[in-house]
Amino acid sequence: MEKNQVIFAVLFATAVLVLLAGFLLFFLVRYRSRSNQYIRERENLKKEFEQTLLQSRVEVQENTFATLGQELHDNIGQLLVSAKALIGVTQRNLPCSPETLNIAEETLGKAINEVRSLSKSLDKEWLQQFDFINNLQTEVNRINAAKTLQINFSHPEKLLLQPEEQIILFRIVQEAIQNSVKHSHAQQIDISASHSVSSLIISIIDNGKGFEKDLMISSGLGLKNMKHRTQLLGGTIEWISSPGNGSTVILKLPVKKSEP
Amino acid sequence: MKTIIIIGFIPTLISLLTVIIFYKKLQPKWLQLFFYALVFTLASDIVSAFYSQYFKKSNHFIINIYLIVNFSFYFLIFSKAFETKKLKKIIYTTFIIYLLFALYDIIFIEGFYYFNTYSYCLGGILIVICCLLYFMWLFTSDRLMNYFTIPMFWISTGLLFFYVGSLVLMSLMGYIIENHLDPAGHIYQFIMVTLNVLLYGSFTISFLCNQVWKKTR
Repeated sequence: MEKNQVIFAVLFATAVLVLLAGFLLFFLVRYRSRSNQYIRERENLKKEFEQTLLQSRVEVQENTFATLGQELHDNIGQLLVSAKALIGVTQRNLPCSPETLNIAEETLGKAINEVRSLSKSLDKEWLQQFDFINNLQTEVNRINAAKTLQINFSHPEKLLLQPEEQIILFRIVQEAIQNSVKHSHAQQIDISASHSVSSLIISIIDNGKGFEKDLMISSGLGLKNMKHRTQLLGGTIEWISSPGNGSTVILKLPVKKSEP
Repeated sequence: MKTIIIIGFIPTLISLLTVIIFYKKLQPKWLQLFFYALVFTLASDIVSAFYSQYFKKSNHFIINIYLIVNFSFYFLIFSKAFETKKLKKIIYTTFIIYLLFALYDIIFIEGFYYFNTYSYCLGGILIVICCLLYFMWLFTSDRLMNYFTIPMFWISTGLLFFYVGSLVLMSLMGYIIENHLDPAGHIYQFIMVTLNVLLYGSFTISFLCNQVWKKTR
């Protein structure tokens, strides 16, 4: 074999091998791009499935709330009304109605009102008639009327959210208020809703005893529920709290300007 | 000739400068080992080039030492890059096989002062296998990833091109030298400079894509 032929063979074999390696890599990269697309599609499907699952879970909860509200109104409410009517009859039959009976009648009246507002706030149809601001304002007024704590609510004229989204948001805020009242023993709660360029920010700040963050997560204060509902709205939720310093819940939800 | 040698240093130098500039930001941390490897490569290249130029003697013994250290370094990098124990074990086994054979080649076959073609070919083939294993692991992964932002993807690409490309030349090196087929070394220089550009170019990209990679993690 001539010298030049050997050198040519070396150069040719080297070039062929490098090209082969290049082709191999090219096909692997192309194959992987397709797999990436498949993985992306699979993740999207999984996300959609989780979203649907969350939606149905919330719907089931809403239906449970509605049934509970109905039961409160139709059964307990009616029983209380009957009891109040019986007390009224007794009062009328007595020449001088004792003070304790008057107080019992008054307390029963209050209980009937409480049950009515509570069943209203659990009723989905009732919620759909009003927007978030009206609903929450009614809830705030109901709690403020009891005079055990003070809730301040500041809000824009209207929220840029769909009615069904407003229901979910209302449930989140309801849960946060309940936590502040029951677990934090707060005296004052400040709720504020405001719009930024592309989001709605809601903060619920209380002056209660506060929590250790780890304890908060493990204590089952309905945080999971709140988180799920926020996810359903495509937003984020954050808890800031430490013992003795109250607690703050910050909700950030995406909004479209065209929404009602 | 001297110009070609100098051109051959440029990709290594650029790679070294990149690793120095991004040294603290390099992630994963084992990428910092490239600084020492590149300094060693550059030093070996300069020493071997000057040794043959000024003493007019064969510099093959310097290259033999360099190759053992260099191959060991690449095996170390692969062992760091692989996440599964099984693949790590394969790399360790491969490294031991290479090291034992390289010593056997020096002691019993080609000797210390003659270019160790056999151990180069074995080392090259093993590195190519490691690259293919890495690609297989990367491309069959269930994770969604942009591999162009993964440093090890570029390192493996460079190594694959370099060793696939140099295997033919290096396996015939003894034959070429004995028969004076490339007396001026032009073919050797042309192939090696081209492959060096590909290898160190890929290394440089791997250090530069690092920041993007960190963000995607």
